[in-house]
Amino acid sequence: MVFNSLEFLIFSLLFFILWPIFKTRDNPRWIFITIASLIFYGSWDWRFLFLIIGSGILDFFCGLAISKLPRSRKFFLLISIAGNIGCLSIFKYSVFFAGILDEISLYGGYPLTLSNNIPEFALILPVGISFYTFQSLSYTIDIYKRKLEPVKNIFHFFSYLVMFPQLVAGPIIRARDLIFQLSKVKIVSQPEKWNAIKQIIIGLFQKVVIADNLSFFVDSAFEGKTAYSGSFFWWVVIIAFAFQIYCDFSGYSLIARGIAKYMGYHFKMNFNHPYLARSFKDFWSRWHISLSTWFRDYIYIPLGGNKRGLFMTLFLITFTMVLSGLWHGANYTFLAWGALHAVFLISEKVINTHFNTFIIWKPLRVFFVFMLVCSAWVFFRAESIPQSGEILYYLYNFSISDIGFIFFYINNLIFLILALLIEIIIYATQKSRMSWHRKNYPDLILIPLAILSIVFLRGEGQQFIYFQF
Amino acid sequence: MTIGLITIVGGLFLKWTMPPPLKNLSAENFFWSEKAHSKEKFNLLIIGDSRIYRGISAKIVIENIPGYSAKNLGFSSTGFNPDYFNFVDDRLDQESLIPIIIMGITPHSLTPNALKNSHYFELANYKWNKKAKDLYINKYMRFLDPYKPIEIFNLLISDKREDGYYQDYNNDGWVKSFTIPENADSALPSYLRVFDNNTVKREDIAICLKKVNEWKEEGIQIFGFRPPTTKAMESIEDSLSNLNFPDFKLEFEKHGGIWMEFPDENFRSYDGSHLHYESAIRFSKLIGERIKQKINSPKKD
Repeated sequence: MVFNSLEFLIFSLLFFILWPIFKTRDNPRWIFITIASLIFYGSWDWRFLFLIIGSGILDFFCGLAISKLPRSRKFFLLISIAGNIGCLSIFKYSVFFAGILDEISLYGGYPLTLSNNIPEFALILPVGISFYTFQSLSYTIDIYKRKLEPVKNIFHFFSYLVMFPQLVAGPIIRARDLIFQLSKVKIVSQPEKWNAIKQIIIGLFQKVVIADNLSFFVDSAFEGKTAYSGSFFWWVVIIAFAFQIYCDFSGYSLIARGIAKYMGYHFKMNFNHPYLARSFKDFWSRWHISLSTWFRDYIYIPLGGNKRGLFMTLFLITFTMVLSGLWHGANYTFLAWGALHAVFLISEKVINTHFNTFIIWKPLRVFFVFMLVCSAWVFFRAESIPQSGEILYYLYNFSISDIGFIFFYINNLIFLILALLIEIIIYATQKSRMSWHRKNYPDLILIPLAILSIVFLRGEGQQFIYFQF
Repeated sequence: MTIGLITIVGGLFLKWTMPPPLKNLSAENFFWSEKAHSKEKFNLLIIGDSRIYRGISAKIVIENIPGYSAKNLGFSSTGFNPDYFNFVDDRLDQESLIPIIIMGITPHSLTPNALKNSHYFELANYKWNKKAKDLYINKYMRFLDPYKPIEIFNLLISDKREDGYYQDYNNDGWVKSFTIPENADSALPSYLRVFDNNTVKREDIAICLKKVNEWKEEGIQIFGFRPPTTKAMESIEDSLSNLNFPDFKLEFEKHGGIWMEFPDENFRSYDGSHLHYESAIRFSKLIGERIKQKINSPKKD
């Protein structure tokens, strides 16, 4: 069930009606969160439950073994990694890798037909598998690094792993952040509850008003259902996609944070106005923060980070970004997207290394970074590398567009203008925002407007984009 | 509490001042779920793709044909294949008077892409919660149907209805449709591409005709026709689809169907493909008259 559905509204109402009964005592609290979350997850497809429960049981016992059996610590860590990455490989990447091997074998003169022999169960992609496997890995890895003690109660562990607000599309919560919170009873104050509700409302606004209204325009363009073309048209399309994916994902994360906050748990921010970034490094500290920090802490830094010389640093940046692209999807387009961001980061690092600071007017830097990020989004959204190439060609060949598309899609583009205006206002009021933000009167206008927009200006229901990961 | 009150008052004010939205989302969801999932049977069924569900009112067809109940079972991009035929069989009341099936055959409805019946299967595969919501809850949620921004703007500053696609969902399976403004060429560009790697195959025609024959042998009267559309559209379809309509007509009748022609009736299309609702009403009456004639005097057309 998606967050913006009647089923979820009923589910969450029931959850919060029963929550006060269970929240004050450890075991009942953990069991209640676990069962409710498994019901939530099972509503997508009950078959997925076996995988997440099996994966969770494996990591729970691996965590205990890593802590209790010092001589076999590495072994059990490898078991956990193999189990999680193995599941991800089978259910997410088997078709992709089989296709690559088939192509290689064909060139080598010994054709294989692995793609046609993949078992049927491996063709179903369990919702949220990329998120919960990373979340589970952070548990066993942190125990191995002695940053965390394993929990003794399996429901305590499962309440961390499967907690429904973040289960299917993040944010990826580190074990050491949430497990400690789950062991305490927190009394949620009225202002905190109100802030939680506001986060949920803003998240829903981003998702159903902005993202869902932009989707029709973006999908029409990428699926070839429109006769319009040209540079201006495609720039508008890709900027619309940039805001669609941002508002879709950020909206989901905000709703998840708001629900968790209402329960008494704090999830860290996952998006921090990424399109206001002044550099690509800054962009990656603002976009999908939970994932980028996961890759930083568990891939980039353990492999050496920036401590092993410039060449190794550049290689590790490339490796990490390509892996990040692969995490998003089993397609060459996602690899290309990751690689392109690696090029941006490396170029920025080299320029900064040799020219110290690149002094440039800040709004221009924001604009420059935004345009290049949008160019990379082409690969993320396109179905294939050839389609990506075709669209990039239109973006940069300055061909003429029939601006009639503005009038044809005016009901969608109004929401792009709204999204841009919101970001511009936030950028312009960054320093003063914190002072009026604390006052209540903006809420009296903005929150009712947001709610009325969610009801009367909502786009046609689209699934959250990141559910496919 | 204050914010809640402001929201409720704001919402009530909006609904009080505004007419219903252009797109009746809850009615649309009910319409499609009911069409795909209802078990109700009828002894006259009208089947085909969007030119059928937008072009024929089942209720008007049977206005002067006593003893018949009718439903339009058209879906978007319907293909005439066994899956669709099974669905039609399940909805046909074969116990009563001579059952009738009226097939609106477009070239597209015999193409491989149409034969996937994506729209029908999307609806048929709805989970129980989606069906329940559409069929039982949506009717109470109509006041929450969303608006388009320009719609609100136009209605606030004047009574003028905005440009757009108007669709009225009827219980008989007909979608009364028109656009403001009309553009009798707007559908043509997409039809120039729709037959790319997607032309009609002989074996698929054979499957369709075989079913016509089976129905005929079960005592069902089968009527077929090419849904009226613009000359430009017909020209595109004839040249690109690989379907020879004169040959198809002959085969249709050989397999027991009755072919109906509607030449030069001057029908009006709002997009170059689908009938404007005024023409759809006229066309439905014509079909009704033809069917009535055939039932009363069963000679060929």
